[in-house]
Amino acid sequence: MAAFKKGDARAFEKLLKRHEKSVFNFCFRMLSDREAAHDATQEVFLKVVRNAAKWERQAKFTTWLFTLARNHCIDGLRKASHRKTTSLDQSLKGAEDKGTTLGDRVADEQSVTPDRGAESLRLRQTLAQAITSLSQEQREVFVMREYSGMPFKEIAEVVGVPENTVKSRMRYALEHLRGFLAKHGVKPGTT
Amino acid sequence: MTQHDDQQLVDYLFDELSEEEATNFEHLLEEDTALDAEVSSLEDTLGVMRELEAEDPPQWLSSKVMAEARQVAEESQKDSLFDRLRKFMWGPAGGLVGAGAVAVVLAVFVTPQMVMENAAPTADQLAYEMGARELEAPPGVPSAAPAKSAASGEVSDLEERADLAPDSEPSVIQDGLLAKEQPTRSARAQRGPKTETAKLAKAGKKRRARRSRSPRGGRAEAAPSDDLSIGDLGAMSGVGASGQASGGGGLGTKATAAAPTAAAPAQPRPAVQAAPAKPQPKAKPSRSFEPPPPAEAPAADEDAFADGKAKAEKKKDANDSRANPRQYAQDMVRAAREELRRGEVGSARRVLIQAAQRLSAHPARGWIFVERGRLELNHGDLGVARRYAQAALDVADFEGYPAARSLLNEIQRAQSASDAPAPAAPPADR
Repeated sequence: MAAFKKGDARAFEKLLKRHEKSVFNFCFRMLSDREAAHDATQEVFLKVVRNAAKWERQAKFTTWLFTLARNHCIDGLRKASHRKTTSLDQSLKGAEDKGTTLGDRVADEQSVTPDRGAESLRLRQTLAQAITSLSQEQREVFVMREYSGMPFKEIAEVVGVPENTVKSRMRYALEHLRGFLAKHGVKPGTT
Repeated sequence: MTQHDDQQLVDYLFDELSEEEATNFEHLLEEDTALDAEVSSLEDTLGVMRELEAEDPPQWLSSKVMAEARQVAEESQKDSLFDRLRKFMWGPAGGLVGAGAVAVVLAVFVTPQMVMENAAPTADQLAYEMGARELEAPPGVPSAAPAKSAASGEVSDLEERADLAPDSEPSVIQDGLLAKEQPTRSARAQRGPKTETAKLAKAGKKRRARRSRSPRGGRAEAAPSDDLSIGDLGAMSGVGASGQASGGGGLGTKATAAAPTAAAPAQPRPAVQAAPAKPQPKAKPSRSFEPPPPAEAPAADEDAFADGKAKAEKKKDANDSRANPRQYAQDMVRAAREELRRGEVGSARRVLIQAAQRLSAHPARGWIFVERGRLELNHGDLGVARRYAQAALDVADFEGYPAARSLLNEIQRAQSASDAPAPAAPPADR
């Protein structure tokens, strides 16, 4: 980042390749929308580019980057709630889609690949729904830890809460996931 | 399960416990089956959730970001150059460069002017010193010390004082010989001491202010001499100031003798003046100076001063006298004699006063003082004449200054003559 501040574009390219996947997955699991995650990831890195001069060496880049991503995602979620769009968890009305949600359909449409079996596809849909079912606070902690590999201490800095709070949120998130999976018939060892 | 156990459980699930902590926690799991079951359940849940792998972002995602990043990088390169220059200018190095630039500007534009301004008095001082060397007497004759020459204030005061004498008295001066002696004490007494004192005090204040403003160094050393002059003035004007010894240059005895007392204003001093009989201390060679005696002043070209125009030219040239004080003093003496010859006593005094002022730091003043003393002697003011003779000795810093000594002797003789009882009138023939 320091090299990019001095005008080295290649340094930023390395930075982008290193963190692009984690940021995208964080946004994707937070927003539960692939296109929105694309836009969000792009916007986050553009913010990094535009605000590179404000970055100081004392701050860890990952912390700064995920703070930007988190804020962007929270704004996106807030706008989405204002628009009163149909909830992904809301059950679709209709005989054909009885018992399925919009999230299930989205996950199903976007995750289907020829080489994956139907069972696997079903499981992935359920897991995506499980993450979506987490509260925002639990979700961000779980996603940052699982998909971005951030330690709890750094997550606490990004979220702005004590580390113990982060761990507690993680504990509750795991309990919630366990219950969700059990509810959806996903038993450990069957995967 | 405590909150601590909860946090340890999460740390254990996500491998954030140290090896020792993990071992201890496993021991705890062995003891607590419920906790062990909870941990196992959560591990299974986490294992299932990890089936949902992270997805790769599309390739096109980074292209737009990188396009903007390259643009920003180019701008930041330009800015960084500017920032570096700005930081350099405002940093310590920039400060040094700025200070250096200011110093160069000062050195190029300001310093030469200051040097030129400050150089003038220094050059004058050098001129005086050079003049003093020019006036050096033959080997063995001491010269005036610069500090001693600072008796200018004293002499100037004397000049002011003497300038108050009546101008209308006829006089004839012929190469230092006393031609006529007319006491003027009564006339001075008629003017009143207050007027004289006020004038003298005003003039002295102005001169002191001038001296204090003078850039030349070493003038402060003239303080004892100034005190002496004040004492002299007080004595002469009757204000009661007591004289002090000048004390400089090893002439304390002489200066003490020259100091008047308030109790005897305008009285001729007792003969210090007895000095001729006194053994003279051997003068230091470094102080060798003997102003040319007035008696030896050239008189061949005195006709050149006949008209006022020549005199004015001489006075004008006197402005440049610092370059050659000796010549200047000589010219002024001639001009004063010319004025006396024409009967202009006041003008002669003014010429001598001006000369003494211009030669304020030069031993050549001694010549001027001798000339002035003769003038006053010829006009009968023995007290003033004696003070000028004494001042000439002081300025010359040489007790054996022949002209001054000769003048003192003449004054003494005149005093003796005036004090001698008038011869008894022959008895009238009946």
